[in-house]
Amino acid sequence: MSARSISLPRAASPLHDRPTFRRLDLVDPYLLIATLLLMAYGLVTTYSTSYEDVAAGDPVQFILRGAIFTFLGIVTMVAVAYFDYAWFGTFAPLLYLATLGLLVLVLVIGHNVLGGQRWITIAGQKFQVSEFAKVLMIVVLAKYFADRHDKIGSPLVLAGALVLLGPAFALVYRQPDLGTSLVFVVIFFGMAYLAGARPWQLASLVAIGLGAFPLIWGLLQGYQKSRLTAFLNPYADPQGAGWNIIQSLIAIGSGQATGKGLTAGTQSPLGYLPIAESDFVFAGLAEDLGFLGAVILFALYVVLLVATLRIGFRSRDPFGTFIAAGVFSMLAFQLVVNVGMAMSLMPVTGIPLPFISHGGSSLLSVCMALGILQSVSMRRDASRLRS
Amino acid sequence: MPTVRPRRLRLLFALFAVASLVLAGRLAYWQTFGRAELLARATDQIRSDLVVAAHRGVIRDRNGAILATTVELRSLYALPSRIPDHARAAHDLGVLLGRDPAPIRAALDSGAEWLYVQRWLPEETATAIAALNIPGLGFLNEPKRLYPNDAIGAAVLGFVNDNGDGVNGVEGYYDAALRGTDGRLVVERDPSDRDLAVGLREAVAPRDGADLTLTIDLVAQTAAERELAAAMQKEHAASGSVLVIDPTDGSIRALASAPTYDPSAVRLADPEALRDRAIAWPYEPGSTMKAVTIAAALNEHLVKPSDAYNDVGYTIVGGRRLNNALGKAYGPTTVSQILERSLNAGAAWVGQKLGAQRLADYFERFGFGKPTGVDLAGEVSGTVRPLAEWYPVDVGTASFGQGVSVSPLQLAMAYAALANGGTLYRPYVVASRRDADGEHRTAPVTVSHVVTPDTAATIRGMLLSAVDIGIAHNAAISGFSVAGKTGTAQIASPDGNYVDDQYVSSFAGFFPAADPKYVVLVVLEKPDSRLLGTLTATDAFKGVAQDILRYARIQPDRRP
Repeated sequence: MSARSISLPRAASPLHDRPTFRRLDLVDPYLLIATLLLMAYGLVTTYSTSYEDVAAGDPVQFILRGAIFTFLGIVTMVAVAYFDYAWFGTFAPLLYLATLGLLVLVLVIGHNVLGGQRWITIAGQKFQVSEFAKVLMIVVLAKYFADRHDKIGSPLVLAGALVLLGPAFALVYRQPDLGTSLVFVVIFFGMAYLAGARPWQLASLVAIGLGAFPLIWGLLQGYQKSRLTAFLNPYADPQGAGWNIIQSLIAIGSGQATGKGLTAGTQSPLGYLPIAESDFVFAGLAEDLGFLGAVILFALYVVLLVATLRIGFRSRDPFGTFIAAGVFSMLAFQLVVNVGMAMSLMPVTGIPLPFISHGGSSLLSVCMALGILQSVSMRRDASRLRS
Repeated sequence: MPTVRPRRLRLLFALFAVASLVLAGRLAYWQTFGRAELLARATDQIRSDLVVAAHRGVIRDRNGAILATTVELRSLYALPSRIPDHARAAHDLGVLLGRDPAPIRAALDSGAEWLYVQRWLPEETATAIAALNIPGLGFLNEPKRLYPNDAIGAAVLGFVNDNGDGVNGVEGYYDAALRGTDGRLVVERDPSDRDLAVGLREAVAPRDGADLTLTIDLVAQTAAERELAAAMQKEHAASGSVLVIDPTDGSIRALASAPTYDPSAVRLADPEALRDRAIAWPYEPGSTMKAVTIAAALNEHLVKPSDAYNDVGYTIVGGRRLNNALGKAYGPTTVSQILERSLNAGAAWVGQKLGAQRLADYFERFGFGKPTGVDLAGEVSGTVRPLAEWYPVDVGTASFGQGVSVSPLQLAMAYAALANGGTLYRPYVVASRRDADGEHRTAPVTVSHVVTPDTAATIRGMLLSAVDIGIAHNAAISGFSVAGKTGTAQIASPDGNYVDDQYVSSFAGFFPAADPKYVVLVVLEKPDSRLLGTLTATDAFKGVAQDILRYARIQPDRRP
């Protein structure tokens, strides 16, 4: 593959790049600080909500696990940032095949947890492949759009992107992991929009999706349906589908302005909040740390997301810009849906809250994405913007 | 830079910003104004307002023997949705509970959110089940009423149903006092119902129920139940009752009812057995009523004990012929002899001297036709028809105890009044009540003075003769003066006629006759030996009396 096939605004090749150590001044400090603070915040939340959770096991184990994954995440981020992200573009087709391969693999040999086949074990650790697939898909789509960004107005380009997305979406949906498959869709729309797709084309896709909704609804599992509708009136089935939402609201409501204090919450450690460490982690956070804690979380996310967009804006090439768009869409969507779900504003779809939800796969994949973003930041043409 | 479209970047970010603001707004709402609504619901859950059950009072007999007490036993419940393996849990529980696992499995699979697997487990069983560590199983401490003497005193005591409500007897009548006032404990608990050490606590101490000491004497009660059971068995009687009353204050020393039941296992009991015959069975008393009729006439100075009439075996009242039992004629007969020989014709003769009005008045004075007011739940009043409904013949039949119905307790209280010199007491079973405020003794309540002490003394003499030289001689106890009267009554069917060849046999008596300390009444419904059922009733009376005399160490009052 030659450098020509990577459409860059300015001739540059990953092979003839400035050495990484000389680009450290181009690391985005806001993104880095927000990332590290969110990681720390995640550890604090883990400590706070899993403390006293005798049933789930030793709380120290949780925190230790969180710390190890945080460390691994930082290593991953640094390692990824070290390389020119253009390499990802270069190997995009390979990455794409690897993504699909992993998703097929998980369906074949995956572990069954809570009715979903989402995990494979590597070196004794369980990994949720779809988390990594999201990031890889961002890279693949970014590469696809970057190569065709001057023809973006063509419906064929959009259709081609959908063809790329389709198998991954279908495989994740088959696990079944409705939430993550929705993240794929959102990533697609966010990237396509920023890549310059005609709004009417995107609007018609949305319209088609809505039109097909009754059909999709029919394909959903019973539990998915009840989870999707429970948020409309959780008290209709307080012991069943509405249970999580009600417990979540109780946790949030009891947090008030400044929270009950670290580890003082009762909802999640006592098992009132099922899957408190992932899907409903926000409720535990709001209970212990209150409105203030939630606002801090949002503030850190705003910094993170603004930095992401800024990196995209400053990127040397559309590839970097689109990666940033994808990461932005992914993180923003997951934040909004996870928090919205905890507050009975959105259906319960099982989407983790990046950094805060326990879970190594989620953290490592996000770190991977942020590492790529830092790589984009470090490879920007600083002189051009300074001038 | 054709690829970067700042407008789109901003729009995307704006979208996120709006969503964030909505979320923050929603969050602020739930943590401020919406909080009250959530809290109300949450309080039901975590800060569960636990009822701290007041300890139900203990019931003792007059000497302090425990008749009813409450212990806390563990009840096993299940949250089926949290039990991972229903089949295995059902199997393990079946083994430990000694039950077929299939119904346990069925209960777990029924879809119920919460259910009792088994209530009131023996402690060792509960410990063994707890050791299984099956998630979704839990224990609840539940009070269980225990009756250490099994069925003894069941009719007096009543029972406590599964909801903790006292039913019948003392448990029913004194339910509010025994129950006490439950306390409250607001405590934070986790879903497995474990108290949280760190949780908030707010306690209102329960007020335990009052302890009751009954007038019942376990020895007399046991004797009464034993004799009643023996009589019931011998006669295959439909039902029966034995009462022992202290005539000096109206307290009930023993109250037995048959058929009976075990108050610890009420669910297994025949519903008919739950009815306390002593207070809830109106029967026609028959000849035992003659003592009341004659007492009334003596009290009104209409007859003297030595007054005589010529007994021809029957008398005509209101155009109807009323026969003596077996139709026997005795010739010249005194009032005393009417009781000794239990003559219907004689009683009717005395009744006619009284007249319907006065007879009805005395019935009322003796407490017939209205509840005695005993402190037991479920009393009936019996029936004395209003005077306006009396036929002319009724003054005759009523004078020997037909056509009126009384409860055994009413009749026993009437005899107690005759025994104690004419005072009708309100019967009672609770001698004292001890609660937080201290001990409250029950004061005897005088309902009325039915006859003068002289009249009462005269009747006592007549009833003594009835035992010493009359047809009640079977009741005689060597060394003691016993007074009493047999009763045989026909049984009225619902259509108003009498049932052929079925009787209620009874014996009412008291001792020592000169200064009566005990009144004992035995009533048997439909004994096999028909007219001779009174012999069985008399035997039962004697059995109870002998036990009491021995136990109470009453000095013999005559030479054997």
